[in-house]
Amino acid sequence: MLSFKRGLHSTAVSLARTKYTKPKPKPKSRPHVRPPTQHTHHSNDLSVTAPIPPAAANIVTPDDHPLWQFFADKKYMRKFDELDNDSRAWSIPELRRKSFDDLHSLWYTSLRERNVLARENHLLKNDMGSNQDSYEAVAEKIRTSMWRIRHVLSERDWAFKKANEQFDSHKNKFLQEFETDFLEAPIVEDEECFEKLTRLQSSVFGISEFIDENIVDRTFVDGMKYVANLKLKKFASRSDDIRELLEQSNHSISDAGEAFVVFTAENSETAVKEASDVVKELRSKGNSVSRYDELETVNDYVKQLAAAQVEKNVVSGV
Amino acid sequence: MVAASRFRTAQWLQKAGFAPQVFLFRNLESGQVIYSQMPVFAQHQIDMQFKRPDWSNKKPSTRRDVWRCMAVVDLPTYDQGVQLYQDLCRLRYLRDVRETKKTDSLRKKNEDGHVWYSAQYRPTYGQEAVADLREALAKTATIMGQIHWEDEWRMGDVGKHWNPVLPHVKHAVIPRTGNFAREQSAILRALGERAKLAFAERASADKAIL
Repeated sequence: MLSFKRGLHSTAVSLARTKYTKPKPKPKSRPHVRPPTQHTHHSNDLSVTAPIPPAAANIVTPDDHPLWQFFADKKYMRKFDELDNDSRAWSIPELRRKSFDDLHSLWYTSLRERNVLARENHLLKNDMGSNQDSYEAVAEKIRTSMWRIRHVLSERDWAFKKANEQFDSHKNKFLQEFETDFLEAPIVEDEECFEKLTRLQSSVFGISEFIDENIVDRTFVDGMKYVANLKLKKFASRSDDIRELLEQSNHSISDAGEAFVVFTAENSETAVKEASDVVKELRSKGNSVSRYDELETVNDYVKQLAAAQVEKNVVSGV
Repeated sequence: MVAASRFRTAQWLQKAGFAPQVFLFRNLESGQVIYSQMPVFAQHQIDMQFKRPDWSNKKPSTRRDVWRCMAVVDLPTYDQGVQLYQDLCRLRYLRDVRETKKTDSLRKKNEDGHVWYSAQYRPTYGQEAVADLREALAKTATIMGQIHWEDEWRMGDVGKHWNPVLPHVKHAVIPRTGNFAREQSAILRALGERAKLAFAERASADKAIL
């Protein structure tokens, strides 16, 4: 229960301690007082000063800044007489004589020049309000060259497609002929023959000699089998083991796993013999790749081989 | 309670593992600037540093995506760091409350007589922060010190504005590669680590002399 002392409204005033009453005793000395942790105070002589504007002069543009590609010789704008006014567009017969790489670089040179011209034309038309067409006229010539490049490339593409269609009907006959020539060539011409084979596999089956560049599809697997068979047949006349393997498999191997082993072997008798031993071992263990899983399996093999090659290069410090 | 939500003493900052630094953050939308003792800020700094908000100087939000670090100031001691922060806050108070007329007379105006703006952006706040930083550093009586700027552009003309007043203050630029919003905290932390290391080296060198 709280006890309230009752009094009049003037009681508090009359009882308050004044200078006439007894002074408060001094507080006891405290020996272990923590010193203040904050010592500093803001300065009292601070004054408001004028704002400092940013300085664009501080920024140095590097010479290799990518936006320089939109400027000709780092100029804001070229004068009209600095433009290539007397030129003409590339003609189609001229372009037909150029290789793909030439056309490719010419395309990008044109594209960059058109970017520069478009920027300059934009400034001329919008900032300066001129109605001169000098930049546009040059850009138009370049545009003509560019569509002609595309035209020439499209011609080549069609020619390639048509040749491919025609080749499909002769393909088997051609491969037969190649096989006969390949097998009948004497031992002295081995190196030449295998170079021919490399060219054939890249042109007919699209197989690159660098294993990691290949995309595994039906053509790749067919080509791989064809090349593996050719290799075996080539060395069958020189080694009994290989001949035996061929006879066992009815003169051509159709298993993708076995074909891959022979395909990746070096082009020498010993290497192919080793490969044929591996194939025999695979058969004895009953390892075979189903025709339905061929693409996936070969894809895995190719990836593993590419990874192994990369590892080998890293280890040997290439 | 987050660390930035109140004023921190030099002792506290050292104990909590912060470096003797002061941070300036700028608002990308409005151009306003916040001073902070640590690489983050909280509502506390906004409340303390925007004492007279009005339509042209609204209290900004704490949205993290609109604030970027504008400069980091390295100082030799924690006490000087705290004093610099106090001076900066005082200067902000002077600009906003005590000497509004003088501040206003120094600002660029548009044709209506208002502080120049484009949409919500008023470049004068950032420029005033640079001027205040120079004034505060000059009055903090610091001989050494380094300012890490967000870019060379913002620090102004060094030969004209900085060297005559503060010849010993070094200017550096935070590398722009990788200094985007997501990685900024990592960059500030790295700067803090470096500043702490420099502080420790100076302290050990001082001890060796004594």
